[in-house]
Amino acid sequence: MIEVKNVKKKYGKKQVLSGLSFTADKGEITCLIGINGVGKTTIMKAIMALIPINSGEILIDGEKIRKESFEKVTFIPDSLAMLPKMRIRDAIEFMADFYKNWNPKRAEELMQFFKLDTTDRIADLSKGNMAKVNLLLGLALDVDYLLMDEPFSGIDIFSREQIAEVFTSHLIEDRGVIITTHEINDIEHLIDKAVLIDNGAVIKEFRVEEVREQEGKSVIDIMREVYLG
Amino acid sequence: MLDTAGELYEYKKENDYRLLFFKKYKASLCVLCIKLLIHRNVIFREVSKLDMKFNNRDPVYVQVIRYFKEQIAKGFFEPGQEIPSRRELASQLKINPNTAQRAYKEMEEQKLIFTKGNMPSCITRDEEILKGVREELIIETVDIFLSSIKSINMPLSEVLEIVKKKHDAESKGTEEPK
Repeated sequence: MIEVKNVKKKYGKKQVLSGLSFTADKGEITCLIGINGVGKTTIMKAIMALIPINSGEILIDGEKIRKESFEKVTFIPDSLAMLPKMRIRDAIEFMADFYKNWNPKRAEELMQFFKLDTTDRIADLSKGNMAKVNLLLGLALDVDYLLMDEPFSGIDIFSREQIAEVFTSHLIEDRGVIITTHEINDIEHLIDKAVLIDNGAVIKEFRVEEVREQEGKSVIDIMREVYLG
Repeated sequence: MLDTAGELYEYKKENDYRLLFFKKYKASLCVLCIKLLIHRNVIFREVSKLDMKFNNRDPVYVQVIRYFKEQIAKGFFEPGQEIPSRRELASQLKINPNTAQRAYKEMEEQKLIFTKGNMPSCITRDEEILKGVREELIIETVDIFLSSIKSINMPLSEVLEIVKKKHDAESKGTEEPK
């Protein structure tokens, strides 16, 4: 379980996270929802210890993040962090060198699933294919937790469907996933839990099936209530 | 058409050859046919993928159960038929594996499906339950029909007349499903 407890973060004078708390369980898909600039990406970076936090605590399976934790949790940023000069196979090799838990079999499977060509240069890839390579590099790691930042932004409908399909397959099964998005439509049926964020704090955290069952409301209904009501 | 005697001879020879071949390899041909059938069945199973659209307000697992009931009533799922595993169902319907798990658990409790040990789950063979599913769906549909026809304020006999006419016209056009 990933626990984010009362995390505060300032960029200069600007308070980005103002006491944010939520949990994300293993084997579940947790979706952080909020409009641009509410601090979604900042939380992800804070969980990965890419930025220091001013106060609060973040625990992964009850432990603070250490060097070894990076074999257990991975972050897929919203843009590909590989050199443009590299070919896809170079990027894969780079990852294999860097991480102990790189799974070459799964990488191969993903290459086929996304219909990518290993000899393509990263700089020449379309935006959609770049997003797919980005996902591939994250998903081929045997980690317990995956953090994905806006995997659907700026991607065509068919690629989106393809990416959404990953969530229902064995590639994700039994892992804990935290995903951020502002386009909930694509994955409404896929997520277990929604965490609505505004002004750097959680305003509502709920299980989507429970809300449908007890209140007959969709995620978007709840969002409308919370953000506009 | 065969013109010359030479061609006729060739034709006969070729056919005899086929006959000979058939006689000689009868047994293995049979095996091959059976294999082909099994193979085709496997392909058929993969092609006949489940497909459904979800609405956003009802719990997904409830919608999945309803879909299964419809398929049972339609005869797409036969009594005792093997159904996809939880993981297969999740990827076919593009839903969360946890939701697929929940739907199966619920259906097991309703005795719509059963699982023996580590075997794949199957549709129930219990006639009573199967009949119940059919009745439940029919009553549900009639309820929807009645509530939408209510606002028109039409005598029942007239409504039934129209229903009968429409139904007859439609079933003439298409074959009755088995």
